[in-house]
This record gives sequence, C-alpha cells and structure tokens, in this order.
Amino acid sequence: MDALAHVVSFLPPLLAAMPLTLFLTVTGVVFGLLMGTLIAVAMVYGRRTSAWPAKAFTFAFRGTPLLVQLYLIYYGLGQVLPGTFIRHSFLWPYLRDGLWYAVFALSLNQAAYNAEVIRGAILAVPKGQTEAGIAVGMRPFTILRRITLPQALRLCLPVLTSDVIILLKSTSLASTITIMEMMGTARMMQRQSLLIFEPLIAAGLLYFAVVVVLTRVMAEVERRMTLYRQPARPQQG
Amino acid sequence: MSNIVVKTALALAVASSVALPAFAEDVIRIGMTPEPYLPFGQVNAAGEWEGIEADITHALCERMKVKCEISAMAFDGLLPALKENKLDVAVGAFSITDERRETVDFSASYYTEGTSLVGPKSEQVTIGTVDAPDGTKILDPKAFEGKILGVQASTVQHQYVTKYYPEIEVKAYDTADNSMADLAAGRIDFVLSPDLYLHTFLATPQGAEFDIKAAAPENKVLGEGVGYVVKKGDAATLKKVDDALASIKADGTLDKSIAHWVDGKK
Amino acid sequence: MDGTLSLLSWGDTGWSDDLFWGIVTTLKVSISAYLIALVFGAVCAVGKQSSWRAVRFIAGVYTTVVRALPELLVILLLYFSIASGIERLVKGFGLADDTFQVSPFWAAVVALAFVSGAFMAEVLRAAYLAVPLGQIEAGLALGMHRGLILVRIVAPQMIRHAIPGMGNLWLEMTKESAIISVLGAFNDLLYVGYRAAAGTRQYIFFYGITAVLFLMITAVSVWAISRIERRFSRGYR
Repeated sequence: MDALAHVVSFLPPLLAAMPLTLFLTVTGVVFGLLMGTLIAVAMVYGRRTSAWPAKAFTFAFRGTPLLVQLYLIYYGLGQVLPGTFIRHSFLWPYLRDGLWYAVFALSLNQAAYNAEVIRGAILAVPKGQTEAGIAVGMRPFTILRRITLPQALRLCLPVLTSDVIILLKSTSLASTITIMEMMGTARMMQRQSLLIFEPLIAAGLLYFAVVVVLTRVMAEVERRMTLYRQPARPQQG
Repeated sequence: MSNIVVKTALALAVASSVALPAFAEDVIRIGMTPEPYLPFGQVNAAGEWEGIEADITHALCERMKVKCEISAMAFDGLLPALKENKLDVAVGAFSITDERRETVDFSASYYTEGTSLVGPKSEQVTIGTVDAPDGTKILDPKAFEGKILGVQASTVQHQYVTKYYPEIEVKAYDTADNSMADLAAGRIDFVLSPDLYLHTFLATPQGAEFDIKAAAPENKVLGEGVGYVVKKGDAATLKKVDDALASIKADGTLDKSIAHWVDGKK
Repeated sequence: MDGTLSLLSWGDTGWSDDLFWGIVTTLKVSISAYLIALVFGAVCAVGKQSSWRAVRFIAGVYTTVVRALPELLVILLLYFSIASGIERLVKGFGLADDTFQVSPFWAAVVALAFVSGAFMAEVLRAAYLAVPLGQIEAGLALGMHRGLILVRIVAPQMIRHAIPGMGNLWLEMTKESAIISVLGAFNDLLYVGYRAAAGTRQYIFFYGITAVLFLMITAVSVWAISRIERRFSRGYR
C-alpha cells in the first residue's frame, strides 16, 4: 500500500525530533514541580500578600488555554523587545529562539496545575504529623521539609504522573511558535509532500509509543515511591 | 436488528465509498485563506473579504455562472485539501512553479510579482548574486551566514531557501504576518517575501524601520506569476476558471482591481 | 492609551464586536462538541460494559488511543478525514445529491467531540460503577426491566458522581476549542484575537484581552458548575 510506504518514510525525521519533545516535557515537569510546590506552599501557609498572588496565578494559568499563553508570551514579548538593550545582552540567544518561550510557558502552565494538586495534598496530610513535629521542637520550615511535603507529594503522585502525560501531549502546541518538535516536524512534512494524513499518522504512532512507555515508567516511579503502601509479599525461604 | 442487515449495509457503505468519487457539478468549492495578506486578500474588521482575490473571485463566480461555496482555511491547509479533493479551487496568491505543476494544475496567471529580501534599516548589507549549481542566479548565501532567514511556510520562498540555502538557519511561519512580527522583534534577521506584500508592510508604521535589501533574481522556483490552483486533471473546472479569467482580463475588471488595491495602497 | 482604547470600539473600526462574536463562536463550538461528546462517551461507556469481547475491545482501543494522542494531532486528522469520509458515505448511499458537503464547522465540532468523548466515557463509567449494585438488584427483584432501572434508578444517582468530572471536561472543552484556530477556518475567540493582534501589531494588548475573555468564560462556568453540584448534592451533605 502506497500510504503505508509514505508513513514509514516519515518516521525517521519524526524520531529525530523526539528528543526535543522529550526535552520540553522534562523541563516542564521539573520546573513545574519546583514552582508548583512553592506556589502551593504560598497558598496554604502564606499571608495574604503571598497567598493572593499565588491564587491569582493558578486561576489565570488554569483558566486560559495553553495556546493563548504561548502566543501571549512569545509574540507579546516580541512586541516589546525591539529597541531595548536586551538584544545586545547575554540573554539574547535565549530570547531569540522560540524554545525557551515554550519551556517558560509550559513550565508556568504545569506549575499552576501542580500547585492546585499539591495544595490539596498538603491539606490532606494528617494534622497529627504536624503537631508531632511542633511537639518535638522543629521549626516550621523543617516540618515542611521533612514531614509535610514528602507525604503530600506521595499522596498526589498518581495525579502528578497523569499530569506528566498531559504535558507530553501539550508539547505539540509548541509547533505553533516555530519549534520543530514532533508535531512541528509532522506539519512541515505535510507541507512538503502535500499529504495530509500520512505525516500525522506517523506522528500519531510515535506519540502513542512514547505515551505507553512513559505511562509504564510513571507507574514504576509511583510504585517505588509508595513502597510503604504496597501489600506485603510473602518472604522467600 | 438483524445481524445480516447490518453487515450488508456496512459492506455496501464501504464499497460505495471506495467506488464513488465525490463530484461537484454545478457547485465550485473554493478555498480561500482569511489571514491578512494584502493586497491579495484579507477579512477586514467588518468581516468581509476584501482585496484583489476577493474581487476577482466574485467576478469569476459570476462569469462562470456557477454557485461558489467559499470556505476559509489556513494557508498551508489549502493545497493538501485540494489534493484530497475537499476543494475544487484554491485561492491564496499561489505562485505558478514547475514543481507545483507536478501535483496541481494552474489557471492562467493574473499577476506577476517578484520576491525581495527585507531587513532592518540599521543593518547595512549589500547582497550580490552568484551562480547556483543549477546555473541560475541566486542571492549570495555568504550574506546569510550566521543569520536567520524567515519565510512563510508552504510558499515558493520557502522552497527557494530550502533548495539553495540548505545550510542557513530558516524559520518557517504559518502566516506572513507572524514572520514580520518576529522580524520586528529581531528574532530573525531577514525575511524573504513576495514584493506586493512587502510594499504593503513597509507602508505601515511598523514597517518604517525596514527596507528592502535586495531583490531576488528571477528564478523558476519563485514562480512565473500568480494563479488559481485546480486539482490535477480537473480539466472541466480549469477550463471554466480560465474562460472566466480571460473575460475578466479582457474587459478591464482585473486591471481596475489591481490598480485599486496595489497603487492605492503603495 | 486613547488610541489603544479606540481599537476596542464596536463596529467597523474597532474589534469589540469581532471579539464578541468570537466568544459566541467559541461557545457554539464548545456546546455542540460537548453534547456530541456526551453521546460518544455514553456509547463507549456502555460498550465497555458489554458482554461481547469485540465491543469491549473496540471501546478500549478508542479510549486508550485517543487519550494517548495530542489533541492537535487528532483534530487535524479528523478535520480532514471526517468531511470526506461522511461525504463519500452519504453520497454513495444516495442520501444526498452531489452538492452535499460537510461544513467545516461540524467537521471541527465532531473532531473535538471525538477527543473529549474518550475522557467522557471514563467519567461516565466511573459514575455508573459508583452506584451501589444493591440498587440495581432491588430494581430487578421488583420486576423492572433494564431500561426502566437505568432511567429511574441508576441515572439520577449517577449524575451526582459524574458532575465533577463532567464539569472539568466542560472547562477543558472551552479551552480546547481554541485549538481550532489553527485550522484558520473559523472566527473563534483565539483566531479573532490573532487577526486583531496581527492586524494592529498590538500583540500584548489583544492576546491579553483574549486571555481575559477566556478567563471570564472559565469563571462563569466554574460558578455554574458549583451551583449544579450543590443542587445535585441535596440530601447528601
């Protein structure tokens, strides 16, 4: 079948673009988790001056489409750049390419979603744990670091892992700001070959494969981090 | 519900969908792109199509005496949609090239324009022409070393840079406006774009800081004029379009439209 | 700032009315796609409970594959294939004459619905399984047939469990409808925002307004969903 041959021929360039997709995903996960935790802590423990902006942040980034956020950040910043000193500074290589805008937008978006989830998890950690920490004389930050956060993160791990899959799929939107990850490469191949379906089907196959692998990886990560909750297995010997 | 009835119905459906191609007899499906691309076309703030192509397409439909269904579609979706038989005619200031002729058919050309390179006024460069491996004259690639070129995706300019400057970093934008936005932001150094669009852009306040650095020498890759695109082998539609186009040229409607949009806008 | 404000005037020189109609289009697309997604989801949820393995398999493939692929990819694929596929079928059956053409609007709506339907199926399935089995058994003991049980007993109780998930899917839908702006064929809110921004080069201003308008849609939806949730939780709090 002719179509099948085309699909196969489109696979190599897409495979070459896969590292970029994975890079966007990983940076989004890492920064999103770091920022999300900070924001969640601000929402739970912060005074009004820090809790309120945090709440506004999550409201704004969860309430608007990622595509709008991408355009606003990329073209919006592009509108103010001309004539400023930034073009001659060391920052320029980062602001020139669309890649870092995508990382920024994806991270902020992910941070907002993570923050809400982590916030719920922090509130779900049994109060007795915190009280025990106070009784022992720990300072608030230490309680947070050693008692609350580790348990909170474990509580919301399933949701966080499914958020990673969602992030992987969202990286496809980066193709709209000239980034040649898998989706962008597929659309470029569409234009060159004038074939609508074959490049998309090839990309679909690869995305599916990556998601299946990633889901397995995340399930294993989840299992390892919640070993204490797994049912006991009979001892050998 | 009988299993046999269901299975037969499914079989018939599959068979008929394979056997019968979709024909449009008295209706012509036209695809146009609403992205701003003056003077050829755009959808203005009042929601109306305006520009050379809007005028000519309306006139065309009148002369052809058919019902025209115009659907809006993103520029780089037009040619694939034509190929997959979702449209009969595609309109989008398509340049006529031999390479495109391999997959689609063109009407007679209704406008010829060149391609130019635009960049910031502050950058003084002189770009000469050299001979390409295939013997044609092209802009000197040495001028682009270390720079980033911008083009609109799926255009002949895009094909031009892919063919002659494979080592230069190129960014392809889904719309011409977005390529200009990034040029203004300084993310790219030059944009290779058709002349008419550039003239419109340079006349705007944002275009004041840019000027044309060089005109690309004529090249078959860059096209031999702008025309309507029809599915390959669709001789019936092509003839209708060509006849109507000839009549529009003959009675001056075409020239009037061009004068209004091009010279009025210059 | 005066000049900027004038960009927002109503009518031919300003963009306010375009933005308004953009919101209307986005809502039209979202509502239509949501209702069709309900149908897809319900059919698939029923399919997953079926006693025929083939039906369960197809339903499983639908939810797994669609949830693993980026929405942008699925929408691009379906937008082009739905129209030609349905056109061919319908014309082949002779149900419509040669001028029949699936409008781009419905092609995009069905594409969006197809994506959300997979998630909707999971929400509906979880809600169905949350209804205690004893309720269904009691109905059977009373001699009710399956259809009556579904309508009188299961459905009212299902709704309460389904609302949070369905509410989230609605919020997702309003944001996902922004993806159709990539098709360039509709004046949905994001596309109007793009045209305004590109036409006037005021990217920050118009993308910012677009974001705010999406935020408004979200805020109103969140309020409405919480009202609905409260209504259906009567008797349980």
